[in-house]
Amino acid sequence: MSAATAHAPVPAGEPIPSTPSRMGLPIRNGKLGIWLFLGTEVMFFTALIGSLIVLRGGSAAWPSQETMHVKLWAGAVNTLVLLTSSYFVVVALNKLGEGKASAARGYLSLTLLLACLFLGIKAYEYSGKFEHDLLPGRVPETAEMARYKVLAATEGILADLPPADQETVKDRGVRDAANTLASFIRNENPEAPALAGAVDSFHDSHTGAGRWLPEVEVIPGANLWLSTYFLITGLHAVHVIVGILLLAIPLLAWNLSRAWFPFLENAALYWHFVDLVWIFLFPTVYLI
Amino acid sequence: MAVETPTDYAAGEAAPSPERAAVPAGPPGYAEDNYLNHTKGLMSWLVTLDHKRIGMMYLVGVMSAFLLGGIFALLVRAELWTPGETIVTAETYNRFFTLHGAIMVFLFIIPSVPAALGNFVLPVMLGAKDVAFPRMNLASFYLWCGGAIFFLITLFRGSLDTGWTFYVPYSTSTETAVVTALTGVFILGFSSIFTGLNFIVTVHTMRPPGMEWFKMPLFLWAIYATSIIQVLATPVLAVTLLLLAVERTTGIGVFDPAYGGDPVLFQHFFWFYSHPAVYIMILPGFGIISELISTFSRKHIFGYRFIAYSSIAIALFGFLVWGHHMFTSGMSTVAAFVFSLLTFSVSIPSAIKVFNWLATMYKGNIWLATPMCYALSFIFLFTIGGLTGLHLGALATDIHLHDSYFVVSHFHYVMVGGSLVAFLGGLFYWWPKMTGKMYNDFWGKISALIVFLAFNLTFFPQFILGTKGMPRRYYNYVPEFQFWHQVSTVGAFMLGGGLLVAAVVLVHSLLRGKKAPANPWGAATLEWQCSSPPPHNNFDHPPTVGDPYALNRVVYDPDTRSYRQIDEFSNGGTPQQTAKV
Repeated sequence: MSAATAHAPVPAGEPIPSTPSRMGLPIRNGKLGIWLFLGTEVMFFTALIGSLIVLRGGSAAWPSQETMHVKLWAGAVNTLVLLTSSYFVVVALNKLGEGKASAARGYLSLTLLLACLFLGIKAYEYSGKFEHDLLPGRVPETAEMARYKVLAATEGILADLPPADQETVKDRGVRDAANTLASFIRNENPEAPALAGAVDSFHDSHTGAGRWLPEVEVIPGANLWLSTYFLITGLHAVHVIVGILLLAIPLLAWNLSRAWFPFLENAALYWHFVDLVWIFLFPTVYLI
Repeated sequence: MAVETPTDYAAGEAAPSPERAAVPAGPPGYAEDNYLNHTKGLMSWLVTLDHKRIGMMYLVGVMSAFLLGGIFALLVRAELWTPGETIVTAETYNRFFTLHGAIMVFLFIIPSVPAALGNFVLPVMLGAKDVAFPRMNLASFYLWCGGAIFFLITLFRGSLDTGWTFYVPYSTSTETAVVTALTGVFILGFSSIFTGLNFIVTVHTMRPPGMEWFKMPLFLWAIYATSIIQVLATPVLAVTLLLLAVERTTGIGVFDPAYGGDPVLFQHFFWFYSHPAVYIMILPGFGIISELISTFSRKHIFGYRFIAYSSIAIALFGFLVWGHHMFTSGMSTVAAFVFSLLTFSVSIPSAIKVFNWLATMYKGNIWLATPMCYALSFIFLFTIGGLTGLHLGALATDIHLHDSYFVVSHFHYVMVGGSLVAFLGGLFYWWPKMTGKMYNDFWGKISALIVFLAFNLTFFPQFILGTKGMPRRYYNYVPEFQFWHQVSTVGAFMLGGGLLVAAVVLVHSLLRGKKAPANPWGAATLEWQCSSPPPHNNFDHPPTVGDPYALNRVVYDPDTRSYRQIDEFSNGGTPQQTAKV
């Protein structure tokens, strides 16, 4: 009843009542705005994860996590790290709501610490991919592609060797081995295992030379796997960085007080979203 | 007693009655201190947070883009005057039609009604002082400018020849400036999201007392539905363009079959945005037409709730039909069948609107002012555009008509005959409110007539060409097609002339037009309750919220040459006339 009277049109000539000043949802504009913005983010990541699912379903081959050197423990730890950070940001928000600015600062610092830890573990995982040359467009998917990759690398080593008059014994050895390998690749038309064996013997005889050929593991579907992996986890990491920047603003604010509550609430909602995306990414990338 | 309907303010002579003679500056309702002169100087515009000024800046921006896109359209039509080379080479022709499409879609049609007219009208219509996030609103405008700058860079550095759809694998291999253009579209996407997000929050939280959902004018329902699409569909376009840009610049490739990627996935993603985007373009037009038909039929809108719900229904259905762009791209029979069925289902809410407009006009007191002429033109052209869409949604006929001039003609009937004509109708309708000036109604009607005739002359022959087998985007054609191509080209230049007449009418009104009263059309929505142009804070007095289509409560007051709400008379004078409904 009270709602009906409040919404009744105001008769002409009478002063407009001061309450209610407006209708509609009883929440802050900013809070509704951030929820809608998160709606756009949901669509963004839905499209990305959707593309992963469609490509995976449509591919003739899709490598397993072990083949791609995915570290399950790293993903699991990162999940725990992000979930805990989401908990701390809620505690920080509650403390700020109670007016305890310094306690809020403490919990915010914990949140940011865990966020940085997440990025650190992510960077460790990425470095592993770089180390094994597991990068989009660089993994041979057939024996033929593996041959070309080793051949190109071998010729690169030959081109990098110093001029003949300054050759050390070691370099001469590398040159001979590389030449042997190159002619083996050109003439023998080896299958992948034979090629891997030849590369291994090259490495065995020249461990000290410091010039390594790339791994020639043939992984069908690996390039597409890596494309989606780097795109999705990379764009998630970009969102983590944006979240860190957002949460750092109240942390560094000299006048942190309850007036910052709406800002921190919006930033915390965003942080929960970043967390939520990871909840979907972890099983998609690490488990299934 | 019949309502006296003034038809031409510009030609009319101001004859103030003795008791009104004390107001010499303009009709009552004309505000000498308004948002246009509230503050002065270039900076007061560039950093303004006033939604009305941002709307005006958007208007200038989108009209400039429209001019540029229109020039490319005329160049395309000029080239097609003869088979083979007429004025430019095939490579240049590819750039012309690409730039015409990309500029018109991304820089003009999508922001035209929501960002330009919507920004001005939405808060006033709602009875609010501004949008929910004025700074985000300004940021949206500058993002639009940023996107436009990237398009200009594209124009001068390598151009673009992929077609506005950026289909892979051509877009990953062409030498033209694809990444620059993609960046432009990406930025424009943010601009669009900001506008949509802002409008949704404004409608949810900024309504004044009494403005219930079902007391909102239908234009607001349409803009609200549009905003939902803008917020939910645009991010998918962002992902698509991001993946395409990454594919072009690095080895990462999800669309490249060489790495196992899927080019059809690009088409799915692209149309997942771009089909709903068609409704971003047309839904605000529906909203404008609902306002115009009711106001100029002097009659309450018929089927208010049906029109309101059909806007939301179109927004939701619009997300489920993208596959009909890809019937020939390789799709399972089941998927094609489902997409075809869903496509047909969109025609239901669209038809609901058209029938309700016709029912509104039935036995109405139709006033053929310029905006109404555009509205009638809209109904005619949109109906043709909509019905030919069903030909394309039908699986069997689509195989024949796909990528032909039939498609070109179909979407021009919807985008130009629909969106552009509705935009012009809305522009002529709200122009007195936006600028405080009345234009010459006679020449306004002439412009509407020329646009209507020339448009049909341009695009109806293209239906014929399409069914005869003329493929779209082709530079050359067999001599048998030349007659229809020449008819179409003549029509295109006449259409340009008609739009020029409209532009002259509006610009002339700025220089010589009579000052506009608060409510020249006798509409019952809130924006006509504030003065013309609106004051800085929109309303000097809080508006009285009532039925937005209660046109029988709005009567013409010959003393002031303006319409007034009957309620206003109860405070002082007595109504001179009562409206007949």
